Amino acid sequence: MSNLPPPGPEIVKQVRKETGRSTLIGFSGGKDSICAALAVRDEFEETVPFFLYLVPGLEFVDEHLDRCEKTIFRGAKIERFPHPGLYMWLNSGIFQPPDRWPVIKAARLPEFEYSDVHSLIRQKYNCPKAFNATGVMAADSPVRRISIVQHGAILKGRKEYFPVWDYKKRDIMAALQSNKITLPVDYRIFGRSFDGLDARFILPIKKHFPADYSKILEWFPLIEAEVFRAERMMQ
Amino acid sequence: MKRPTFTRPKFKSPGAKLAHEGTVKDPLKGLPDIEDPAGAAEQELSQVAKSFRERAAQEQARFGDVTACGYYIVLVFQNEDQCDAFADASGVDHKGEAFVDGRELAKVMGIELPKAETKISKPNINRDYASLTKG
Repeated sequence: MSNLPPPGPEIVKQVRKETGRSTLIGFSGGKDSICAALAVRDEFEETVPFFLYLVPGLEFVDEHLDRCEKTIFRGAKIERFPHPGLYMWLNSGIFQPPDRWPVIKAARLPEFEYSDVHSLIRQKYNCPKAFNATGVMAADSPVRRISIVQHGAILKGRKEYFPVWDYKKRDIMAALQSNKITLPVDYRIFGRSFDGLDARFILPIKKHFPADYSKILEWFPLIEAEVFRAERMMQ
Repeated sequence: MKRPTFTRPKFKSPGAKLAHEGTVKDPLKGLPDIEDPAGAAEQELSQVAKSFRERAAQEQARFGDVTACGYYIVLVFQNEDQCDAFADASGVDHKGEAFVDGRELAKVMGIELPKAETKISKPNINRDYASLTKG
């Protein structure tokens, strides 16, 4: 097992030593990124969590993030940026009616990468050397494990590291329970963090959060086609 | 020397049925008998590995099918009268809704659609994680 990276805590200490007082935390609000945040927050003087939203202003998402600012980040703000996928969906006309096309074409929303968001945050917080911590774990999938074995848990080229790469489910549960962390409602209604516009997510949102469903409709009016397909054509 | 015989195991369900359990054909069925045990094992594992790749490709195709957005088109008319005229003439009863079951329209127009196996996945709720949510 000599090819495996050092344990998570050593990864964090190494990144702290090499990159200085600040770390970014790519925070989806899900269990893995919560564990990553818990693993790094005491090792750095400054932690800069950021969240990438797929649909602006969803209450069930914002409520959880607001709670995490208090319970996990000790009052530090979670920066909220659009997810690259949001702009890509809009530019592709996903679930958009024809009358919106002229607006979309005129707006020419920029298409960007995750790394662009990271750069913007480093600039804003004046921490050019800071690496981004994520909740990537070797146990996620065999491919993920192979990737970590091959490339390690610190990707210097991408300024990224995996502080809980060696966590398994029991470690996740222990970290959450010992820190009295509440998981988002997503785990009760989707079984995972909200990350798409397909029926797996949209049907439960329509059922449990009608106000948020209305917001999704404002941005993606033809999402009703997905609901129509799922409710009326696949029963 | 008599070759040993091996019993193939029966798996107990872990409680919940796994997605697509029972839908995959036995990858070892019909394999030719090979005298050399090493060769037989190699053949078995090769078939299992092939089946893994096929299953992964099926899963990728299924996920792509369910999450792809190209399953609808929008018919746009110049005004409501034209839309109603189309609905009346085609015999498609859209019941005042904006969305029409494309299969019904295809039927009216005499178009045979390819068979679809698309199914929406049900949420896979983990009880342990769900117990840590609020409320």
